[in-house]
Amino acid sequence: MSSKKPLLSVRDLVVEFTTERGLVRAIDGISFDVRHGETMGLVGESGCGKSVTSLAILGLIPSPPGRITAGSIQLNGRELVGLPESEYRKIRGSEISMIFQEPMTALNPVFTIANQMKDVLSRHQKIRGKQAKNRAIEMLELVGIPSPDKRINEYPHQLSGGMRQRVMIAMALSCNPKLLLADEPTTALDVTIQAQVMEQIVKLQHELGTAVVLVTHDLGVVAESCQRAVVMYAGRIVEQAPIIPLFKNPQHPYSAGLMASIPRIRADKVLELPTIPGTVPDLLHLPEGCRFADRCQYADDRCHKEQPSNKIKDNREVACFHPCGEA
Amino acid sequence: MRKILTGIPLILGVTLISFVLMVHFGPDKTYDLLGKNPTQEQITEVRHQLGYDQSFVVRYTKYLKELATMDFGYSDSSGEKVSSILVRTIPVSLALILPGFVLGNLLGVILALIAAYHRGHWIDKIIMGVSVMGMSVSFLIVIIAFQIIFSSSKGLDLFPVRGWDVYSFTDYIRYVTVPTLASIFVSLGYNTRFYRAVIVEEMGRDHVRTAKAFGAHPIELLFKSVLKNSMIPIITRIMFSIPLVVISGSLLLESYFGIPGVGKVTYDAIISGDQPILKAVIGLTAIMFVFTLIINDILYKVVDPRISLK
Repeated sequence: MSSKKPLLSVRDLVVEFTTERGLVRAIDGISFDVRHGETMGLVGESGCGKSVTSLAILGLIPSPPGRITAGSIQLNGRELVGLPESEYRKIRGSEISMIFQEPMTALNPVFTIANQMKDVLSRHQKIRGKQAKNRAIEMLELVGIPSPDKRINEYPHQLSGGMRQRVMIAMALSCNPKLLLADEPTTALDVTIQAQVMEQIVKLQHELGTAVVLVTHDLGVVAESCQRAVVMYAGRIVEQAPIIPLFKNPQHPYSAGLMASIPRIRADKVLELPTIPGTVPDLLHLPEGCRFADRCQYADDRCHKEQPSNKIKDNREVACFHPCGEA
Repeated sequence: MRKILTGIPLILGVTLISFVLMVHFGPDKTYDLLGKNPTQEQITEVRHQLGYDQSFVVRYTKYLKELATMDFGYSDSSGEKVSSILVRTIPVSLALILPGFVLGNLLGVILALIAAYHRGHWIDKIIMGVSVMGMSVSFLIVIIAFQIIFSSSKGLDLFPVRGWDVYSFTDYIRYVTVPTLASIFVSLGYNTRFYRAVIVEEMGRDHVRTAKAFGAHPIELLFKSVLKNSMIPIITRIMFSIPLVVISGSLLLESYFGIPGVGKVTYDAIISGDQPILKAVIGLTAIMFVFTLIINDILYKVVDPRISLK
């Protein structure tokens, strides 16, 4: 374990939603750290709680119906859970920023880019007018938007999806945040644009020293740009590890299944891409034991009855009774 | 602008339909004028005088000419020039309708913002409950109730019940207050409910979440991110209610408060079959509709950069 204090520290976080069918625990006791300046992948399939986690960090769980019922989120040692709204607003966009999945709709259609960027700058950096505009142009240039002094006066609908996502990145980084939450930032984009946008995020992260939490289900993106990854399944963290060991030697059977199902150039021709059998359990009717047990080839009686606790070893954590790669 | 040019065929179409309905198939005054047992010669002569023997095209063109020159001849019942009747009564109607219309919509938007801001909270529920009440009570009952409450010796007795003796601003306030309150009471419920729905929908948009994630204050969210985006449906509703409010709203108010506006004139003209006045009012209403449509489109362009006037 590194002696340096983590930038963000999430401990035993529980988020619950009241639905018509009952109380749903979207996140059930997750703990992880984000270190200064690192890129951490938050991986998992749809509905596993990735986005809820990032919204929880920003204090934006829609309430009602959702709320954080237990646990803590600390940014540089400062507790964020239970922070008054007025204090939280000062953090949003300045210390923690977020990029959303849908660049088409995430910007306000009836205001110019300049107007929206200046709002953020005047809110957090107290710079206005010409000065704010210059700063915004500077940021747009940094994210690789051609002729930013002209583009800044345009409306979002005049820009392409990739350009809009760049504007979002520029806006998110304009107040020098310490942490950037990127919720599937490239999912809605073309593959070529995806690569460019990711490249931009990674490049800026190095330049500005911002830590990034990259929420995605795209393992390829994670492998390329993250140092560490957290794998989530049905509201829990099943494994967290540095990237290379995680991809080379996944320990949780779920991670192993994910890695196996990545399309890749293989030595032998396979007729069918391997998949993980079964489906994700309904969050309303979770199994008593390990949540992955029903789909796991290694599962035994104990897996169905007890929840496995985290085993920490060599900088990695896995929640499994029968981790792969161990006898 | 090109938009106005496209309004011309629209005006032609609307006037054509109203002409066919009201004038061509409308009341035939021949027998009213001649009384019982007229001779065939008399009938032919009167029909010629009235222009009934001319072809449809000629009569319609004549109507268009009347519209263009604003010269509709003389009222059948009073003999007064139609245009001078309109010049006298339209300002009265506008003065009567305008405060209630403006305040009704303004308060509607404000209450809707408050309700949407406190969505699900008791403040929201109270506003919405009162809105339904306002919607459910008939305009007639509201007018009578307000007359009793504000103007009768049984109530507050502050304002005159009927009439329009306006020579100064204080007179104006005296006569306009009760009708204005009544029309606000009636329109507010509809307006608030509609505007709240629009605003709540807009609050759920992605860009509002983005603004939140960048630390926007809820009030700023409401007034900046949401309000301008909600303007399209709000403008549509306001603009489209203008012609209706001017015609039907003033009709009831004017007859119950005894105010000599254009609504009352129209009402009397319908009862007595006073064709020159009806022709004028119908034609002007059609033109007003088309103009509000055009203004509507221009306002769209003002609030939403994605819309272009083509």
